[in-house]
Amino acid sequence: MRKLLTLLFVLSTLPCAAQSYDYLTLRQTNGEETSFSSDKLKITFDNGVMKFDNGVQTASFPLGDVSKMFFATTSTAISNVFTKGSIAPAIRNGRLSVKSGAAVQVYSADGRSLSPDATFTPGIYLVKVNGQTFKVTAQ
Amino acid sequence: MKKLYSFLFLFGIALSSAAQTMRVHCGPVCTLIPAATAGDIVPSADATALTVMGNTFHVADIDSIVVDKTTVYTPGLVDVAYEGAKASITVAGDVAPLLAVTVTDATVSVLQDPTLASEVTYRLHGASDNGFFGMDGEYKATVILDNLQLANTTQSAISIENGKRIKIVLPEGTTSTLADAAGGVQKACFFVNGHAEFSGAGVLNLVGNTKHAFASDEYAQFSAGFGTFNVTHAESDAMHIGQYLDARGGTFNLSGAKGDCIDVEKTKDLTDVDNGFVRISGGTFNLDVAADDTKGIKNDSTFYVTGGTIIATVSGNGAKGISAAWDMFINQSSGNATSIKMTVSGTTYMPGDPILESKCRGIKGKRDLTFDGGDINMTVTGAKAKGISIDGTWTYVSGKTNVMPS
Repeated sequence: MRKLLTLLFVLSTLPCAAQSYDYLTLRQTNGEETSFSSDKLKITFDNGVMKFDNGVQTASFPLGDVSKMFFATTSTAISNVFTKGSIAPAIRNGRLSVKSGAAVQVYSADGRSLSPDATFTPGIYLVKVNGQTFKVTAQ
Repeated sequence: MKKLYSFLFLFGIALSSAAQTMRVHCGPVCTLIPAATAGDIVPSADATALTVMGNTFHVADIDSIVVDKTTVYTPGLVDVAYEGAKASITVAGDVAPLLAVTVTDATVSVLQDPTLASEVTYRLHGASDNGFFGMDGEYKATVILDNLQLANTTQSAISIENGKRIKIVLPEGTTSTLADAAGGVQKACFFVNGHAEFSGAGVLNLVGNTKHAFASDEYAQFSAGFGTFNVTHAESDAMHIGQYLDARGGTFNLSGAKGDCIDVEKTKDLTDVDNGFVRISGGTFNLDVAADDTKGIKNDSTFYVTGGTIIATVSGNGAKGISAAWDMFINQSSGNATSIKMTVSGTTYMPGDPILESKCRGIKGKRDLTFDGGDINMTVTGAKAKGISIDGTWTYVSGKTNVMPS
């Protein structure tokens, strides 16, 4: 009985370590969220801009555009995680700008498939570039 | 099977020790925010500050924020690392909002907010030729001296103005050495305003270049497993203690004092418990009473020895090995032998002076002395010196002594 209780006690310590907050998620004032792998993540400030760099991903946000940040065990379902060297898609003046040669799929916020060559009215779109999904706001 | 259990236990502990922690670096102070309890990190409305876990950081003060999963977070811990001309401080995020930390070069001061209601542990380590640690507050605290080497050129090395219970821990295997400035105004090299409770089997070396080597304004207690307390020089007393001394263990090597080795004085609050008492129930005291008209152990009230060893070389003229202002009780409890050995070689201090003349004594009691167990062994060679001299009544019940009161 003593051996069983000892084993149960030992096993009970393991779940304490199971919760791993692998992501720091930033929520902007417009509702968009971006998750960063929290391991070796460094944040610096320069003239009111927060700069994130974890050796794999980089991003910058004006602090005034930040609503809050929080640690999470998973990344946001749809996130803008910028890999170093990649160019994130953007919609400017209604036109989609994306790295040439990339496989691109565009969806409206309600899930309708759209042509990448369409003229995009202001709103939020999901743009999948080479398998990576980005949430893009058309101003 | 036992090896498996041990491995699983240690593995579990290791996993739960290090976890994602946010380190907010502001100059020499780093605040640790554990991911598990951080909650929301919120910018101020004017985007000039960030608040997390009750801590507000002005963005202009932040050098960087780093998140890693190798940091071991200990709630309530303040780590002070001295490195030459500077010090760096790491503060646990749960107590950081209630601590005002000031750092200039290697001078570190912490002011605990009066609303602080949990104990903070300060771990001091490293070395500096001009370092200082000061702490004030109204809640009890623990100070760990972990291989700390601190000297100071203008003031004391450690000054704890906090008047509450202060645990002083010397971890086993560590040696810490403190020396203060000469010609200063400080009361001691290592000063505690409140009551100091010493524990840990480590070593503490003190030098008092202005006045006392160690001073506490309230009682000083040494645990049964306490390590070693060395004083090699003091301009006044090696240990100056207010209220009472409670020594249950430890080795005390006290020499080079121009004043007493140990002076226990009454506090001004006459309702204080055991005011002016000495209680020695264990430990070994090696006392070099070389200065004229000084004492190995002096106290303002009742003197109890129920165990332990007192070895005194009383060579100063007019010096006393033990001097008690009230009744003395020397005995030994079961399993804890009492041994008092003295070499009394001093002669008379200021002979012929009607006020200042003082003769050399091994034990001097102003009132009664009751001896009920233990071993008293004295070699008395000084002119007009005596082994035991008491003003009151000598009562022998049991024990061995080679000197009698005279």
